[in-house]
Amino acid sequence: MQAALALRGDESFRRKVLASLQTDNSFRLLRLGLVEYNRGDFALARTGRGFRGNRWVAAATGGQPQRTIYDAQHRQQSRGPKLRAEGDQPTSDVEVNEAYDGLGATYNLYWNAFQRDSIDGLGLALDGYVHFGHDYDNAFWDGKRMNFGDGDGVTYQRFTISVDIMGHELTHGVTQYESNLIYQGQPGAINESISDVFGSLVKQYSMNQTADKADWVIGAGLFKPGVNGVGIRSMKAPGTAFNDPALGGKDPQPAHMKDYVRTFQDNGGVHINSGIPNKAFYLVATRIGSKAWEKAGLIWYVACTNRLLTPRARFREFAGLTLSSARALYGYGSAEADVVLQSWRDVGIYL
Amino acid sequence: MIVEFTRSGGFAGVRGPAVRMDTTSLPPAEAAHVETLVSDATSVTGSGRSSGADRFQYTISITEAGRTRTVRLSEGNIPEPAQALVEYLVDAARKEGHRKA
Repeated sequence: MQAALALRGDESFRRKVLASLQTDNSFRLLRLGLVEYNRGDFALARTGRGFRGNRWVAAATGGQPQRTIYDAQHRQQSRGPKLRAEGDQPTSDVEVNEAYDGLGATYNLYWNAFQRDSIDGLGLALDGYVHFGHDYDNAFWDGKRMNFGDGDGVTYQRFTISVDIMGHELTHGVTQYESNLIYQGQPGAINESISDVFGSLVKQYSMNQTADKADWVIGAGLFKPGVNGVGIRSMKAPGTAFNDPALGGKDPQPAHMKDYVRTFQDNGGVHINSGIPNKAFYLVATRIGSKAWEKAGLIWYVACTNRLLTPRARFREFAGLTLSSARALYGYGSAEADVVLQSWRDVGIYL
Repeated sequence: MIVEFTRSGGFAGVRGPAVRMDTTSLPPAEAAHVETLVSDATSVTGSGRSSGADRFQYTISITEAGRTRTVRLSEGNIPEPAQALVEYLVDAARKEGHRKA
């Protein structure tokens, strides 16, 4: 709202609004700094400057996910009996255990790397519904909970098979509570890319992998044997993840703005053009090196939670916010900021 | 009447099952069934706006007397008059996919 106002009106008004937004953002960074400084004293950290006042009450109990897995009983409804609650022993149902573990792995990345207490930052309980629909080849976050299909039995395995799928879906929840990027065109492709980035980080964090050892594949293992592909998307080499008639042919993702795909399908190609920001993140993470969540992930996280990231943001605006995050976190002329600038340039986005 | 259906979106976001049917080459009872489903859905004008991340998106094109009308609908947000048509086409597209594979 303020950002939209900043685009209108006279220049002095515009400057005032932008200055207040910058102040706002510096407080967010400061709050993040406080969290780093006061690890263990997260109640204070989370209150920060006190807006969203009720935040700190719940944050004081942070560090522990509240997971419940339910059985959708092959109906396309998020209703059904409870199969496993927080702290319960594993069950004999592999999907229940994978969902439980995947929600936990996602919670752990957000808490340990970014001091975020669940999807909403307030310790939201994580509810997952397995066996959603009949031969259902999808998983999705419906705004409140996760739903996982068993796969179609022909092309796709169960959608709990890869931990980055849970990370991807829950990150849609995080985006909903932060920027609320619309699910169409460029903002939709950023929304998708953010889910792939943190989905991949969940997997890397759970395996304690460095950026150079990660596969940078989303949905590895999801295809049934015989399908020609390593997974759904490759962040390292968008457009190369699969090539199979059962998937409509070759992976359509571009890795550069010159190949941006204009389409009416898939909400304007949100799962297609996400290849461009995905590649940018891969380049940043591997160029900085070490563990991707430590610096590259933090730069992205700060950009994703920046109030200047508005619902209709386009690639260039998002890229600009990652650059300002890198400068704020590591210094204006830091190597990290240079890497961010160069990596966006390499996918055709000039800042 | 020619009815074309494609599915896109979902977590995978790949081109999903699709089907194209020409009612003039269907058995008469089947053709009449499809035409009824289409006429029940004529009031629907899909905006295509997604009802959430990673839901399926359905594109339906109806060509009749040289005119084509296309609607885009999001799974989980299908207007009631189009629900039976979408269910029918999802099923037909799945069978088509399995026949090809």
